[in-house]
Amino acid sequence: MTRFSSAAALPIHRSFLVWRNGIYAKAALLLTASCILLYALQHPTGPANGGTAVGYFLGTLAAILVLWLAWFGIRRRRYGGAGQLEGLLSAHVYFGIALMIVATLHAGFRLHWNVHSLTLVLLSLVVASGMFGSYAFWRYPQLMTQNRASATLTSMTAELATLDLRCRQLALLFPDDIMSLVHETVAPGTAHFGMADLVWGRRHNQVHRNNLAAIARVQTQLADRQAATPSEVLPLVQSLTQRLILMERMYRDWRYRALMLQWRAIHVPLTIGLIVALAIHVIVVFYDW
Amino acid sequence: MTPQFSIAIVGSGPGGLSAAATAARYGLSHVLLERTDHLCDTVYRYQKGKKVMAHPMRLPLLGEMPFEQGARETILANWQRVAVEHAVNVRLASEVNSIAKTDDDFTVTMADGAAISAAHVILAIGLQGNIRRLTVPGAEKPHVKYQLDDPDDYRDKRIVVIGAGDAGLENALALCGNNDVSVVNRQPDLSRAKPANVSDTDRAIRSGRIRAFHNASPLRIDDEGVTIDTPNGEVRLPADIIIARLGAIPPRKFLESCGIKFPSKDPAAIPELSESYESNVPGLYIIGALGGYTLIKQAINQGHELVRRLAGDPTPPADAPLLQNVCADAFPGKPVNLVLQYLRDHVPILAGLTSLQLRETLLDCTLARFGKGDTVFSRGDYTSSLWNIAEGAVSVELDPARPDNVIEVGAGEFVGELGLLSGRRRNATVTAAAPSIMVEIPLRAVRRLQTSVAEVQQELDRVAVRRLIHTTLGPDRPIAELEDIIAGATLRTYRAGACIIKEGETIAALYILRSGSATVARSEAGRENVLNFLGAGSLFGERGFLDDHAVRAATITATVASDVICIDAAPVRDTLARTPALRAAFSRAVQTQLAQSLRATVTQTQSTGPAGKAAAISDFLLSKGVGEATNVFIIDETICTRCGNCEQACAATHGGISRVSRELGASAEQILIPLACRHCETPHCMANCPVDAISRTPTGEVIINQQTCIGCEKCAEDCPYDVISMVDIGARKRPNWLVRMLATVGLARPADARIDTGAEHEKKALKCDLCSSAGGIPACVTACPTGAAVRIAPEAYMTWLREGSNP
Ligand SMILES: Cc1cc2nc3c(=O)[nH]c(=O)nc-3n(C[C@H](O)[C@H](O)[C@H](O)COP(=O)(O)OP(=O)(O)OC[C@H]3O[C@@H](n4cnc5c(N)ncnc54)[C@H](O)[C@@H]3O)c2cc1C
Ligand code: HEM
Ligand code: SF4
Ligand code: SF4
Repeated sequence: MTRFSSAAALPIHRSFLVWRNGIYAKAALLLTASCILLYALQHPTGPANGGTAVGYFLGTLAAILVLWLAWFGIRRRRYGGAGQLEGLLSAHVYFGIALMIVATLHAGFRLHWNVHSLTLVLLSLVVASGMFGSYAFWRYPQLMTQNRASATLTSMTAELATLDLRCRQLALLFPDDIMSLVHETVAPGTAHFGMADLVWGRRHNQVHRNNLAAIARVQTQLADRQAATPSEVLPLVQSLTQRLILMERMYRDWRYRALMLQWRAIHVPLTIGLIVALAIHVIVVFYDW
Repeated sequence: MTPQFSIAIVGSGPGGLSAAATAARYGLSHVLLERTDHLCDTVYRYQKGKKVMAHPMRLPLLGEMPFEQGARETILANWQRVAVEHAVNVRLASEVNSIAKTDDDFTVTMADGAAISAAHVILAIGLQGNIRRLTVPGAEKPHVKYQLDDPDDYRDKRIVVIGAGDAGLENALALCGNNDVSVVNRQPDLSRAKPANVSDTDRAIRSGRIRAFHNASPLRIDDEGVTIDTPNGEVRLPADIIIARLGAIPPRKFLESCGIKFPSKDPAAIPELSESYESNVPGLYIIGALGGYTLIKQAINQGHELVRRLAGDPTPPADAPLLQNVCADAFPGKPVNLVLQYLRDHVPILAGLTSLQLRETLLDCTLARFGKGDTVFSRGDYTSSLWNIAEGAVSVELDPARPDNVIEVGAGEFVGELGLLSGRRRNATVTAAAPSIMVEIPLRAVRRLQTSVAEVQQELDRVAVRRLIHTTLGPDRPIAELEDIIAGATLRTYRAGACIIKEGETIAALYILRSGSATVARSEAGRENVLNFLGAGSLFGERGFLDDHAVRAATITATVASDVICIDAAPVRDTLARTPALRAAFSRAVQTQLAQSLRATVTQTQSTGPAGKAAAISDFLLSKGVGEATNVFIIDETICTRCGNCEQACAATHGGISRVSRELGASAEQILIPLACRHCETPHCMANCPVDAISRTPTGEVIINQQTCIGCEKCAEDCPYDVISMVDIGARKRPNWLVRMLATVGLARPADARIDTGAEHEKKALKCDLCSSAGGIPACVTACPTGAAVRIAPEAYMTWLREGSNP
């Protein structure tokens, strides 16, 4: 009945990277060290490769690890029951890194243009994306939380809509060219971003520049007292600036989120590719033999 | 002058219509006055196709109106036919504004100024109340409306909806497909509405279909629009139609204006009625939901019973066979009337009830016989009911380590009030000390009695205060030694945030927290530093009773509405000085508490840095009502990757519908409290469920029984944390893991997983059950891959905040 008692049953808010004081990191380290030792102590007749006794052992180990790591994708979606997924992810990460070394040892540090090396390359890419993912899981939640500062996506969207409307209404007091510039700047849909923005932030930069231009253009009106009074100019400049800051924040929110989650669009398909390549690699090896 | 009608019936709901149809059958002159332009407005406004339930299933149906479980449309059509076939004299669009008693009859005046006179008036206006209207300049303009009949009447219009409660949001959602819709919301966010409406509206806002103005209110209305006040300044919204949904004024005011008295100030109080539904104003009757009978069948039966009595042809009440059943086990063969009399004589807290109240209460009770040595309830159970000893006696064992030290409680008294009032686990084991007859009254019935019968509340309080003082200060001393202390005790209620003890004050009283929770804080370097967290049952303010301190060393503040027993210092000091054994017991009790708070103080000496952060988090949690939770879902946002696996896990283990929402949760200090049930100590949701579908399991989870829930939304309205959603349940299918995996990374789109069975809509109340239906281990937490999520007792979390969060 720990759920209702004052003694905590689980560790509270501990990242998967330090699950049970990093027990899986230590286990994976031990595994890697043993494999390296095994590799160093062997005395093959030819060059070290997958065909030696140690090579077979390492290869089998690596294949099992690959399948077990890939099984995580299935286990992650089996809900209910007692096991804590966090522990499994911790193991996934550290044994995934260990696998990179095991597999490299299995290959005897050699690369050629064939399906065997393709398997190793795919594996490296999966591991590399996984390492980025672990970094992202560790870093971006904090950045995202700081950036949001208690606002939600909905509250930011609603605030943006209010500011947009206000800018549009205030712009009605200005000459046509300014009015249409402002109306274009605050047009709906400017807060939507796509994949291209993730890398280059292109569209975002464009929106940003437009907004800055509009502010500058409105401000020049201050000099030209004929057309508008400061009491008309200031609120518009202020609202446009508030909007600029808010858009910045929304863009960062979107970007962090995308970086945090979208790496899996590489990790998962490559995993499927890896398993196919691995299967061919094994068949070819035994066929050749 | 003879009145125009023998009976005037106000309100044409199931209660009023049943009364009118019966009057018509008996040939009594009558009139049925209805506010709207159709019969049965409450049922009329149910969702299209709603499956209307006919609870209580075992209650037989009396009278002229057919009623069994079925679609809203069928039921309304059947009732309409009754009105026509019986030639009921209906007057529609007649909102009654006042009812005045003149000598022998009543004058009933309507909104249009028309008046009628009648010998008897039956009030059956339900609980929906009269509509609240706008008061800003221009509110009288014709394009200001207060309800939306058919959203399809509007196309390409600019519409401003004022009010973001459920009614407002539902209107906005229904209109936004074909119109330009803005919502003006007085609150900073949408949290006042039901989660389902909030999430739909959120989606509509995000996709630009609805424009929302939060923290905003209307200033004035002109022919072409409305000007509103927003945090960014005034904004003018052009509008063809303005729909104001501002809620209703409760019917209580209207009733009071008719001279009807209420037994207490409690907004849930129900006027006292005689066995024949007569109020304190002779000739004025109240039936149906307004009289506290919240189901359709009850309303129909009452309308029928009452009019037959007025016609001089009374029928036995419909609940007679049910009561017979309740009594059958303990009193086989004994007529119900005699059992009722027996209860009045043997159970003092039931003695002051009207016979209507007694019957209603007995329906919910269990009457049981216990043999000597049988267990009534055990320590650690989470049961919430009051056990009355009608005959025999029980022994109460407070400390399992000392089985010889038991307190005997005899006939006429009750046990179990502590667990009932605080919502905590049972703190004692109770066994029958002799063959006994016991009456178990469940929480809901006790609550109803507390609000409507003043003596019940007083008696419960009196006994609870006595016992709590005894068990806290000197459980192993005879209660006689404590009489002076008890005489100096009063019970006070503190609002959330109210200060109970102030640092530096002179010591004038000793306190026991009966329900709720509180924080202990000390100011250091100008900052309040929370040292400790007190749960129900805690003794506090004990400083100065065993030593010679004269002033308070800390400030104690209620975190949720809390009941506190305050005991005058003088009798406590006198008694302790006079009775050394009691002093020793008291000092033991104090030691235990002191040890706890000392430990806390040591780990929290600085006010900035990690400790300051921990304090800020605990402030935030407490400000969100976590103090009355028994188990709360908390996510650390600096670890959470927003992957949504917790919600997915919840849906997967609960028929495809998640009961957790992160997006609608509250966050501050990098901590998120997702929208999910907290399994409150005293669950607000339980209070008004008409079919008693909500209960607490013996292991502590608050659960809703899907079989008995009728979808009336009462619990959803009552839950202050908005965690209950009303959902159309139907078979839902989950796509396989490959599709789901590809969906996570955006490479597949899981098709809408709901299979429409084409059946009538069946809305049910859904909320978190702590996975008690799915293995007992919360799936949301086990599915969190990052370690961000916990589901935990607030005390454990607070302890961790103080001691474990900054290693
Ligand atoms: C969403 C929802 C779902 C529910 N589902 C069920 C269910 O499945 N099964 C069930 O048994 N119960 C259900 N209930 C409860 C049920 O609707 C009520 O118990 C029942 O309608 C009460 O009947 P009544 O005659 O007392 O009052 P009502 O049905 O509320 O009727 C009151 C009538 O009086 C009229 N009126 C009000 N004020 C005035 C006035 N001043 N002058 C003239 N007329 C006035 C109103 O317009 C209305 O027509 C549900 C309730 C809700 C809100
Ligand atoms: C060959 C080796 C690997 C394989 C086959 C593999 C496979 C997978 C699969 C199938 C998933 C499930 C994705 C999902 O559920 O959306 C996953 C998730 C993950 N992998 Fe790997 N992985 C490997 C190596 C690694 C490595 C080395 C790391 C880190 C250093 C890593 C980090 C992660 C993380 C953090 C997730 C969590 C995704 C989530 O929970 O949303 N992986 N991996
Ligand atoms: S549904 Fe609401 S009131 Fe009921 S226990 Fe849960 S949080 Fe408390
Ligand atoms: S499962 Fe954990 S990481 Fe994922 S959203 Fe829920 S709390 Fe955040």
